[in-house]
Amino acid sequence: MKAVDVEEAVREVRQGRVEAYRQVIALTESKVRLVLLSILPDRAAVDDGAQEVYVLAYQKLAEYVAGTHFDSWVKEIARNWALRERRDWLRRQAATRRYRVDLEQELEKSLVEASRRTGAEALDAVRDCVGQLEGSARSLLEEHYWQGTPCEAIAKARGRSTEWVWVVLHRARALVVQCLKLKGVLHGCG
Amino acid sequence: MDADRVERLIGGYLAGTLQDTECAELAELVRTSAEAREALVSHFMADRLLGEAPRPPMDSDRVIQAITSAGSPQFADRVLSRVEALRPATRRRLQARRTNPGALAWRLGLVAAGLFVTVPVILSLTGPPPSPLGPPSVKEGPRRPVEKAADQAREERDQIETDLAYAEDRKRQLAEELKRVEDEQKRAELKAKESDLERIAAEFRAKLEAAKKKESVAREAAAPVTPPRENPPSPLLTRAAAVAKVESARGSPGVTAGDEILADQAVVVGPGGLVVLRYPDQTRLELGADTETREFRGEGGKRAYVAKGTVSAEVSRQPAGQPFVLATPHGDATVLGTTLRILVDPDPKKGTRLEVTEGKVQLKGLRGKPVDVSSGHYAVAAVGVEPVARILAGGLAQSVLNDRGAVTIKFGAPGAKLPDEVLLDSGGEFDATRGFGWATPNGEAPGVFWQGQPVWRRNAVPSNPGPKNPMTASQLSVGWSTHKETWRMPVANGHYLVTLTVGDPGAYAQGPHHVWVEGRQIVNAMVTQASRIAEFKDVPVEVVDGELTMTVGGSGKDLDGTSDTKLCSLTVRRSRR
Repeated sequence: MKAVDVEEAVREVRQGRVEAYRQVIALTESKVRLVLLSILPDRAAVDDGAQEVYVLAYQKLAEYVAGTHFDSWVKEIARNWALRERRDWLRRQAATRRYRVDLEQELEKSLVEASRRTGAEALDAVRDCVGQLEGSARSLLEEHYWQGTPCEAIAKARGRSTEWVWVVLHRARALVVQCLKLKGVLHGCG
Repeated sequence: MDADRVERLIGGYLAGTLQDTECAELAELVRTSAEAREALVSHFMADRLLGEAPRPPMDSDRVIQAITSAGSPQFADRVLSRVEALRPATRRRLQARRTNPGALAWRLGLVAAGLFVTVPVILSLTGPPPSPLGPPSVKEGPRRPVEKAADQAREERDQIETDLAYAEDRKRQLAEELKRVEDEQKRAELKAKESDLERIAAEFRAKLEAAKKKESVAREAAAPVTPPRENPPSPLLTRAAAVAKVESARGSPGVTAGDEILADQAVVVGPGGLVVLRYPDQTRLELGADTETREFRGEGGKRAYVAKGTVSAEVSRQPAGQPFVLATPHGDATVLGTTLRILVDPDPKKGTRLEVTEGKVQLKGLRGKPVDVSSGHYAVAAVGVEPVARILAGGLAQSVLNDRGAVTIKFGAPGAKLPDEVLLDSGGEFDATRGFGWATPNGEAPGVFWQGQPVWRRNAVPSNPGPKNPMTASQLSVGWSTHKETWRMPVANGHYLVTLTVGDPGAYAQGPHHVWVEGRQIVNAMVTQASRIAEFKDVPVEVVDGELTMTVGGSGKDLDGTSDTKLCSLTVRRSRR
């Protein structure tokens, strides 16, 4: 895809060339997805969420003031949409999982803050951080996150308990967190 | 903070396997410890980033990259198709541009074939022609599972067809690029890519064939059997009456939002699923994860059988003599109009637990007398248990007290791994979810200073040196000679036995400890020596105002300039007297 300025692509969409919206999406999708990933309790809802956000953004495109950072504008739409979904999810859970709801309510502010402070560059940085790990920490992260193997299956294959997998994953994640903070792409929850 | 415990809780949270008590424990940790909050949020973000990050390219990914080299075109396609739906003219133009002639011809053929199959199906579904006797015309009933399966098969086939068209389009573009490229090495790379794409396209073709077969089978199953002409069955007999409508559905095979639930239909919700049903009178049932329900009835009084799982209900006022009955293997809950939750455990000893938030419900076990369970109460119907209505105060402490007859509160710092039946109090303000806590927010105790510095109302401190036993490893420093603090826990009125421990197993004498429970003095300006814990066992108290209250401090005495009570634990046990 030809490198195109997002503002230019937005201008073309507003002039009626809908196909240019493809470029708008390509240039901003990872940022939008990161906002949704930070806030939605259910990771599986991110794909549908991204679709909803871009349809919504298209419908509201007339409200966007050209040159005022489209990235931030679409991320704010994503944040509002994700918060609304999150609260709907909590309402649905309230009757049966009130302690989980309590925990999620306790976390909400920190997650929204994290969604604002974590840049899309973190996605590349995280791969680099995993690359710096060695041994079972790295292989477990790769198996679990990149090959999609559930903890139980990893435990079975290695003749270990699921708790062992959780602990190794936790410690490996802690190293990744440390690495991301050193790279300046992940910040405290403030 | 016990690092192992925090690791386990965070691991469980990310894996989605935390139990209620663990969620409550983690929430308490997050509430009281900035370090724990930071750790949880950081791990959550890392977990999400790891799941989203582009993994390093591997050999098997090369083909996928060839197709997805422009980012995520399929995602953009989906968005654009919806955007174009907002602009019909644009959609038509775009479709014409994107579809190659071969695919277009194929699609036309498919549409014709679809019409050939669909029209007779639609005609047959509309039922037999009216008989001369004029059977009543009925509205088309809800869609049957076989019809839905046919639709799903068609959607699958559509998706594969789209993917195939896309793969072929990419292959065609590659072939054109190949013609233009002179460089040998580049040509060889493109040739390899073209061969990969051909393989992918072949796989899609095979998948398409399989999907077409599946669709054909599903359509055959969906087509109703033609009834004998001389004896046409009434659609009223072949289609069960709709009882309720599915408002939302997740994790339940064959059930989607907008479906109608028919009489005697079963609805099974899998792990992590949730199905919400709405009756015409606005009664709402929420079927939680791992729930199995069947035998829905609407006529002559609503009824549903809950074989296992959790059902929450908001029942509109029902007509006289036609209550809503939620039947379970252990008994029936008869509802006139209320909000309730029913939890059915397959284990007959655990049975069915009915919690009533609003209104009144009658619970009848398999034997014995029915019991009225009113607002704020719960009852259990199980083998060998006579249902008795007990108070449902809403908090975790009350649940433990109701279920086990006793609850223990450990006062101290978070992080220690406590037994399941022990709940932690780190000095937080009263919280209805936990069901206990202190009367005021934590902060500086008014007018109290130590070595010239203000002191906190409540301070969770570890022992020094710290013992390994989590029940004594830390305490709550609370209440001073001139300052009292009040702790409360709502409980049903009645008699209780309380056991209180104060002191510090560390290297220092502590006190004077000064504690009253329900107006009865249990500890009177007592000083505990270094490494000693004092226990006051089974002191009887009576609650008459629905709340057990403990007051700490105010002895008027001090020990070497300090006067805080070191609270260690409080156990509240129901008493018969």
